[in-house]
Amino acid sequence: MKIMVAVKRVIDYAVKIRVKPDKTGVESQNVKMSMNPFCEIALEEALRIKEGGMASEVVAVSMGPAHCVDTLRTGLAMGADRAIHVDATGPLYPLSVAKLFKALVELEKPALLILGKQAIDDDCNQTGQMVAGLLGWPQGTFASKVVLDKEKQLATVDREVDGGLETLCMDLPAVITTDLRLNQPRYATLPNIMKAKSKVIKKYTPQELNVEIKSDLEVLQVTEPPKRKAGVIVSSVDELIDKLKNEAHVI
Amino acid sequence: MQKWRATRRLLLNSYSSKSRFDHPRSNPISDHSTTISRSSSGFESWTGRIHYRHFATAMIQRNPAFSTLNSDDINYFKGILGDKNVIEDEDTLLFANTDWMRKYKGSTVVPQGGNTGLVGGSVPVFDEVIINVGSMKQVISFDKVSGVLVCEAGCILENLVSFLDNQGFIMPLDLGAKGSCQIGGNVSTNAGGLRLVRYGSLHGTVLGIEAVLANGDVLDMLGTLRKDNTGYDLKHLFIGSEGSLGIVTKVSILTPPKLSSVNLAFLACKDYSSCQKLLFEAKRRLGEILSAFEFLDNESLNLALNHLEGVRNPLPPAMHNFYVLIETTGSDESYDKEKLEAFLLRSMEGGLISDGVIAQDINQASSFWRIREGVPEALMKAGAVYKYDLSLPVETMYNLVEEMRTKLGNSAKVIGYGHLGDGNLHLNISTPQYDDVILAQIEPFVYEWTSKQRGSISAEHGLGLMKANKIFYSKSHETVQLMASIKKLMDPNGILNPYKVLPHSIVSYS
Repeated sequence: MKIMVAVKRVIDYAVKIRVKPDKTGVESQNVKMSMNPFCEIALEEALRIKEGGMASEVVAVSMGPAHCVDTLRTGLAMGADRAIHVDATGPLYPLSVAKLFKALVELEKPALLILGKQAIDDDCNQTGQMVAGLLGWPQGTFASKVVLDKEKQLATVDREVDGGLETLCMDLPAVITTDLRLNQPRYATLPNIMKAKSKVIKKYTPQELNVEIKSDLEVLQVTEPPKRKAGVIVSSVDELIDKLKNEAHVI
Repeated sequence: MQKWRATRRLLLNSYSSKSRFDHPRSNPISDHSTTISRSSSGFESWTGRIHYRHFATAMIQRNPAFSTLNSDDINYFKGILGDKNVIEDEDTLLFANTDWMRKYKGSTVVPQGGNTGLVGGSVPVFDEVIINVGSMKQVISFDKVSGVLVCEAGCILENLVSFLDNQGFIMPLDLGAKGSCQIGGNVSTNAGGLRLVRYGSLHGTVLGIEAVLANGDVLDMLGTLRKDNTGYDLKHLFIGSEGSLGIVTKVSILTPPKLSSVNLAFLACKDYSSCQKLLFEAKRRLGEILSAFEFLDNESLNLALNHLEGVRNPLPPAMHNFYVLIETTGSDESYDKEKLEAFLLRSMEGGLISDGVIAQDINQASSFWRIREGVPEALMKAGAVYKYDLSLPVETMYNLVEEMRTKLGNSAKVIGYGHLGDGNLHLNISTPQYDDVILAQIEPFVYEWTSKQRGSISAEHGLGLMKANKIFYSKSHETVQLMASIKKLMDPNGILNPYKVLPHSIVSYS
């Protein structure tokens, strides 16, 4: 059984984000880029399934400009067997990504596609659901626990929902998107970094996959969230109540 | 993104770089309660007696030349403040701010910064007036071309770091305590820290100082020049003299540009000699991008794993004997990474490294740093700790840890970690409780051992109160005599940070 994992290259989550002065997007020049944390969790889960003897191969996929190869190398150093890079310049929106994944799934025929529930840059939370829809596969989103049954070809997924946990059982092949509590990703060790250097990264273009990159969405502007006002120390309970009533208007 | 951050924090509760832990205050200083009563009713009974205070290793005798706090003083302050209150408003205090040195003739002062020092340098001993510069926290100027920052002494290091970050620069020093410590204190104690191997000590990066002298004169040496050979370079007297010659009020400091590519590796070595060879190689093969070279032994890692929340072993499952952190800072991400990887793979093939991981994102890097920076915090949680901060020849440095282990056997946990790249060992001995028997086994052995190696008994922490009398282990009698003459010249009445830095026997006042 083969597992395909999506890994996205994003601005490192610890970097302070700066909006470009012309409001067309955020500054990404000279900024530390890393693997999307939810994608790390997705890859870790795939590797654990493989180490548990439930899968034979893990293929990491990234889409975007040439630098995505660095992120794929990280994935290979974590333990993915090989990687696919879909070389695309310009913005990629979830629907295009889902279409590209559909095309790759048809080529590679994995039994499981694991993605992060969302990327921390655009917070879309759509790709997993869209690709499941396009493929007609069942989906377990926001997974906090995944158990596979190899014989029955079933996946049991605990989902984090508002009221608690929801447990789903679904047939393979399936799409799973990962939440934060699923696992703690491993570090890339030196021996694995060394091994990753000889692993194969296959390159495709959207044309080769017969996907036209277009979007029905247009980004009008990107702005910073409003700055938080500094707090004040009140000297008495009366002053607090007064401020809550007349300034914050909450009581 | 915001949501991810919030959730992440909630879950893991301390990985981000912001949460790098403050140096815990760890001065094992205790009141000798038999001689001093802190209650206000017992206040009168202090006066007219010889007073001692017991500070871990030092019994301090009160200098009778200095004035004693009396009930008139207390009543005066009560008149301003009420029974318990703190007033920070300048206008309210205007009438009270007379010349205090005249009003309180014979009183002494203790300058205080963030109180993160480790040798009691900012701890008042008897009735000293505390001068806290925490309200002097303005950045005065910053020159983007030269990178020279001029600021007031009370600026918290981390605030300066974030101010400079917006300008594309960094502070040349980085400490675990950066969230609390202040630049004035950093300069006064000549703090070292994690980046010294790259950017050098504050004697190199501090370009100018404004200090207030014992007679009240404000000494303006706040130059911003890199080169200035006109006469004696007196600012150096204030760097590392722990407020005993003057109180640093402003600082100008040279800051390096922030480089975009930072990589960090956490490595395992089988023995101490491999760590040394690795340092030797790293200086040659990483050259200009090497920005930190830190080490810790397996006992240190064990402590961090057992006592710190959210810390995990980066190289499970086996425990190795030594761990090394190598950080590189450069301007080209892919070039630097390639260089570091090539160096590490080569070192691994050569057997210098037995295992290792490279941080793939900032979060992983923070969690590696958290281990190294969290060791002092873990020690505090483990019980009592005897701390020694020693400069030693790198070659023989770790022998001391091993000798100490043999000497103490099962009665204490002896750990060694520190700035290998600077030849600075933190020898820490952890026991469930403080015990004079243990102390007698450690001291003066550690000091004598260090002295024999021509090492320093205080590499970066200073002497403060706790180690003032130990200076002769590292400095000759003649040197200390000259220091005492300088002290006498600049502070004839000895009012600045008394009982600190210099041995009590040599500094006497009539």
